[in-house]
This record gives sequence, C-alpha cells and structure tokens, in this order.
Amino acid sequence: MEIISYIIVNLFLFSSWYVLLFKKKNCLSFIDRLIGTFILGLAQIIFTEMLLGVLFKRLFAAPLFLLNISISLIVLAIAIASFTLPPSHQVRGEQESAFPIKGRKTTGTFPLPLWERGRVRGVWYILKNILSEFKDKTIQFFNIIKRDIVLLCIFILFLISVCWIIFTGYLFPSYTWDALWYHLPTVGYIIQSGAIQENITPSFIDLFINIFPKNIELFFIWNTIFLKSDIIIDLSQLLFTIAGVFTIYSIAVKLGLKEEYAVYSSLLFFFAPVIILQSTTNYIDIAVAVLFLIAINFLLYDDPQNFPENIIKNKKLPILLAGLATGILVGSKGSGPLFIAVLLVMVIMGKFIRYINPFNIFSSEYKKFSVKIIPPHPPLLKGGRGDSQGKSSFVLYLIYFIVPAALMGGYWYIKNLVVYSNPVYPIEVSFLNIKLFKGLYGGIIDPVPDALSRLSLLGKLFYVWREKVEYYLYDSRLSGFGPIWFILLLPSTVIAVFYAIKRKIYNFLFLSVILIVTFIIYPRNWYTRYVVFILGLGTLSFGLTLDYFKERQKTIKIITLLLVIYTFFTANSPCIMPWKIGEFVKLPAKERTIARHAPFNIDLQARQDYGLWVWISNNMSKGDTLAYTFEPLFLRPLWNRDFSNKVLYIKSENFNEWIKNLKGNDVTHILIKQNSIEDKKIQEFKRLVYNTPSWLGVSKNLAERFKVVYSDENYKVLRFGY
Amino acid sequence: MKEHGKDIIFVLFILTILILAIVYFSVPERVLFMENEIGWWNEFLEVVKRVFS
Repeated sequence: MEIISYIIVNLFLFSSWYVLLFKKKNCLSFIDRLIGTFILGLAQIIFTEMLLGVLFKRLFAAPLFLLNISISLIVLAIAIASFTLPPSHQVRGEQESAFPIKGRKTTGTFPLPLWERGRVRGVWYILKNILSEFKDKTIQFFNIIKRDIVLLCIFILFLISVCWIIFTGYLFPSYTWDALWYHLPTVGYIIQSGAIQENITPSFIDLFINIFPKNIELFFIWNTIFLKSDIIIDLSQLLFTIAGVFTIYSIAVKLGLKEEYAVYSSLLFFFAPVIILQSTTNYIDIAVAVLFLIAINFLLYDDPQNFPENIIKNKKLPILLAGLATGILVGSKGSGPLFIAVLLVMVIMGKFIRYINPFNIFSSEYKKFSVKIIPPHPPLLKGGRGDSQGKSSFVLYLIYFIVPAALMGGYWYIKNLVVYSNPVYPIEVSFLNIKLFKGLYGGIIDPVPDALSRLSLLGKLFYVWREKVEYYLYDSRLSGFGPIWFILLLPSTVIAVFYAIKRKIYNFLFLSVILIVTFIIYPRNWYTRYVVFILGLGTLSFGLTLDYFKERQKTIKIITLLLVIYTFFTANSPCIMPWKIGEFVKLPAKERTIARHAPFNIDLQARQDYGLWVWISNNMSKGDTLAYTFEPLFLRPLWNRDFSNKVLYIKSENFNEWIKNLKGNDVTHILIKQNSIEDKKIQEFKRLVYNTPSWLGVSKNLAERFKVVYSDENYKVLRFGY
Repeated sequence: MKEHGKDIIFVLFILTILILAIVYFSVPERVLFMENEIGWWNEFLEVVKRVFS
C-alpha cells in the first residue's frame, strides 16, 4: 500500500506538470521540459509540505497525499482544457488509431461533438503525442551514441554506475556524518510532529537543525513519508545528479554544440568521484550545484540574439523556472543568497552590456551558433530587440524571477530573522566593521586541514585537484573532482574561452563569467563538494573543445575514454566494502542497519553506540516516545528505520519536575547515560521504594516505573510507566 | 595556414594533457590509492564468486 501510494502521487505530480509544459513545446526543448517538470514538481513538493507543516501543523502522509493529488488533478485539468487541438483535417490521419470511439466512424473530416473534441480527443491526442515524442527522442539519442563507439562506451559505463548507485543506495542505510548529525534528524523531527518548527536544542549541532534552510530535507521527507521507511531516502540526490546531466546537455545544445558533443559534456559531468559518491548520501551539495546550473540554463533563454521571436515573447516561462530553481536553491543552504546575488548581478550586467552594445557585438550577422532546437531566425536589430525596454524587463524579472525565488527560499531566512534576529544565524554579519546581525561566530567554524593551512588559494586548489589522497570519500575534503577535471577539463576550459571569444559565443562567455565569479567568491572553494557547479564549466568547455578540434578529436576522445574508465573503477569508497555488500545482500531489509554496517567513516567514534542503536531499531515502534537526556553522538539512530517512534530531549535538574515533563510528553522510554544524574536519581528512587515499610502502603510496583530494558557499559534504556 | 595554427594548438593541448596526467598520477599518494583500489576490486571479485558459487 505504501509503495503504491508513493508511485501514484509521484506519477500524478510529475506527469501533470509535464503535460502542462508539453503545451509549450514550441518554446521549451524536450529536455528543458523534463528539467522544468522536475523543478515544478519539486516546487510543489516543497510548497505543499510547508503549507501543511508551517501553517496547519499537519504534515502527515494522508493530507500530503490528498493535497498533492488534488493539485495535480487541477494542473492536469488546466493542461488538457487549455490544449489547442489542430484542425480536424490535420489530425484526420491519426484519428483511426488515436480516437477509437465505439459505433462511430472516426476517419473523415466531420467534426466530433464538442465534448468529445475537447476531452476524449484532447486526452488521446496529448497522450499519443507525448509518447511518440518520448519514442522519437529515445531513437534520436541512440542514433547519436551508436555512431560513436567511444560515446557508446562512456554511456554504458554511465548506465552501470547509475545501476550500482541505486543498488548500494537501496542496500545500505544512510551512513554519512552530516546526514546522521542533522540532515536526517531534521526529517525525524518533522515527521514525528507533523510540524516544521523549532526544537529544543541541547547542543551546538542541534542548533543547525533549527537554523538551516530545509528545502532539500523536505524532499528527503517526500521520499520517506509515504513509504514509511528510509530505504530510498539516500537516493534523493541521484535525481539531482541525473537532472544535472540533462542540464549540461541542454546548455551545450543552447551554445550551439552538436548533439554528440553535448552528450559528451553531459556524461562527463557525472564522472567526478564527488558526484558518484554523493549520489547515495543525504548531503545537499549536488542538489545545490545542479539547481544553480538549472537556473543558468533557463536564464539562457533570455537572449534575443539566439532565440526567435516566439521564444522572446514566451520567455516568462523559462524565467519563472529559473526563479523557482533559484528559490529552491536559496532555501537549501545558508550560502544560497550568494548564488542569487551573483545571478542577479550577472543578469543586470548582461542587460546593461546588451543595451550599450560595446564594439557592436550584438549586431553580428547571422550566427553560426544559433540554437538548433528552435528554427533559425533573421538577424536582430542593432542593440538587440527588447533591450531598450529596460523597465518592462525589470518588471518581468521582478515578477517571474525574484518573487518565485523569494517565495521558494525566503521563508527560512525570515523565520531566522524573527526567531534569532539574524537571517543567517549563527553566522555574524558585518559590513565595514559595522555589525549588521549578531551571531555566534563569523565565517566557517571548521578548521582548515593542516596540509592546506599555509598554502595560497591557488596552492590550495592545485593541492586538492591533484588529489593527494589514499581513497575517495563522499565529503571529498582533499579530493573529489577526479582526473577528468584536472587533466582534461582544465586545459579544455582555456581552449573553449579562446574559441568562444574567436567565434563570438557570448552565451558561453556569459555563463563562464557567472560560474567563475561564483567560484572565486565562494568561501572555501578548494572544498570540491561546495563548488560542484564549476564542473559544469569544464564539461561544457570540453564540448566546445571537441567542436574546435573537429577532425583531430579522435585522440581526445580516446584519452577521455581512458580517464572515464579510470574514474569508473576508482570512484568507490572504503565506507562500502565488497564483503559488507556480500553480507547485506543476504540480510532481510529490517536488519540492514547502520550498526550492522559499521561504516569506516564513523566506526571509531560510534562503535560504543552500536548496541544501543540495534536495540532501538528492533524495539522502538509506532507510538513509542524516547526521551534522551544528554548530547548523543548522532541523533538519527534514536529513530527506527521507519521514523515511526518519537524522540524528545527532556532534562531537568529537579527530579520531580523531570518526571512531570516525561509524563506530560507521553514518554514511554528514557535513554540515560550510566552513572549520570538521572541514573543516580532513579536508583535512589528505587531504593526508597524498596526500603519503605510495607505497612505504609507504598506499592513495590512503583519501582517498576523505571524498568531497565537495555543496558550496556555506557547507556541504559528504561521503560517508563506511570 | 589557419589549419597549421590549429595543428600547433592541438599539439600544445595534447602536451598539456600529458604533462597534467604526469603531475596527477605521480603524486606519492597515488601508489597507496591504487593499492587500495586493487584491494577493493579483488575483494569484490571474491564476493561475486562466493555469491554465484
């Protein structure tokens, strides 16, 4: 039942938006409609969860399901109703198979009754067209890759890698440090209370659970709440990875590259160890980078030189999609405002440059690099059409970019401003030595690794890109981009910039400036997982490099294949060892726990907690509430795999008050440390009960109020009865 | 002449790739990295054999 509801809600959600966008097939390419569907679906997920969680405090599976199905049905109805059918003589040939209405001859030019034309024919016509488009595009794609053996090999390696990611993501529970620390506890807190709200924070790391923007965590919830299990929660980022591959392809086509080169660019984006390894983790770095690239991709539609008039007129839609992608990004990470600032500055600068038109660059003749997905168009007037309409352009961006971006991402910052008087709490914000917002610290608190601390910025980048490491890890501290970036994409970027200047490919230069500027100003840009978006520049440059060298590209392709094979074989991590895979394959799903996994990255710090985690996983169930009284290593293992029990922090210096709080919160189990204050107080209480003379009428059962159900060297779990 | 210029750029490009490949693969940690990877794949093959035998 859970799986069926998950499939139904996703099917409705994404198909309804795709059908709506299908109407815009003259404005958006096929691949952009797929990306647009992903963005609109994601926006709906975040919007509905926030509506239920923030406003109604009823973020549970049933209301979420009903709300989303209702919205999807409305979207679907609008899409079908607004679909304009071609005149009957144009679809006449298709009628026989497409609209088989009983007892009625369907060939010929006679008009069908209005309701049939509007509904039956409409639905069949759309469905048939959508399916035939998917079929055509698939055939077209396989025709491209089968012509090039190197590309075919890279594509096969890509497919195997994706299957492997799905397999390992399914097999292992989420095991990464930040996921166990705060990404997944955020999910747990929201699922247990049905509300998006502030929680009691006993430790510094718990503070992050409250202050971090949570858009991607809301997507993690989406992949858990219907299934009532965390089994695929760690595959959430894989969807962003695939969206990233599509996005790079789409940008490459917009730059005027041949489809073959665009496919090369897009597949190379995948072959970075940080992307392969993070695709099975509950981190958010790939999501942030891909959302940024998606926003740039849709902003590229706002280019009067590269797109015909019908696109310019309909540029509201791509700008809206860019705004939504940016908004989701802003609400995903504290550094989100930096991305929106760069995008806005670049858009304004782009408009300004187009307006002043230095060196007459926007009056060049018919361009070679016009977009192939859209029919060619006559050259535009000097200065670019529409650029003189600066005011309308500003209004357009305000309504379709800034407003959606603010709506999708602004809530978390406004909430922080209201609760903590600082939108980016706990980071202190100062300008020219004036403290604008008080916080706990300035910048990033994590210390810089020793190996990098004395190096210049370029030295740091050179060190990390050479990957002086003994293994890869999902968080990619001193590695992550792999050899393709350092050996192939860096020199390709130089060639591509030179080529773009020579051939006046301004779109490429524009996006290069956006990505490079963001990279330069991004704090700790040597940390590869923070700047995954720069791979987009490298892979697009590679496509341009292939185009530049044309006849000589064979050597480059062979080198590329060798590096892809190397990455394919080396992008694994010691966190998932083969013997563990062998062991987990034989285990029933319920027993594939983090404690059983004992991954290398947390094992040293967490091994004394495994017994407790296994007990919780096996014994805590729906209706149980576990109260903890100290700062645990990780919060996530205090929930079972279904997130069906509740977890609360309840502590008090006063024993009676503590008991009162436990009762008030319907606590069923208490987690305490051995020899802690609570442990001593409970033992004292038990002694008191046993030593009380029976003639006083005190029941010895009172001592059973704290029944020990689990105990090890460090912890005790007590069944709390009252 | 134009093609000749492109030839030179191409040779420089390939040379750069080769130099960067040498720089990348010659870091001292690469030996240990490769040993770890070979160990991982040997173990993987053993597990596959065990599962299918």
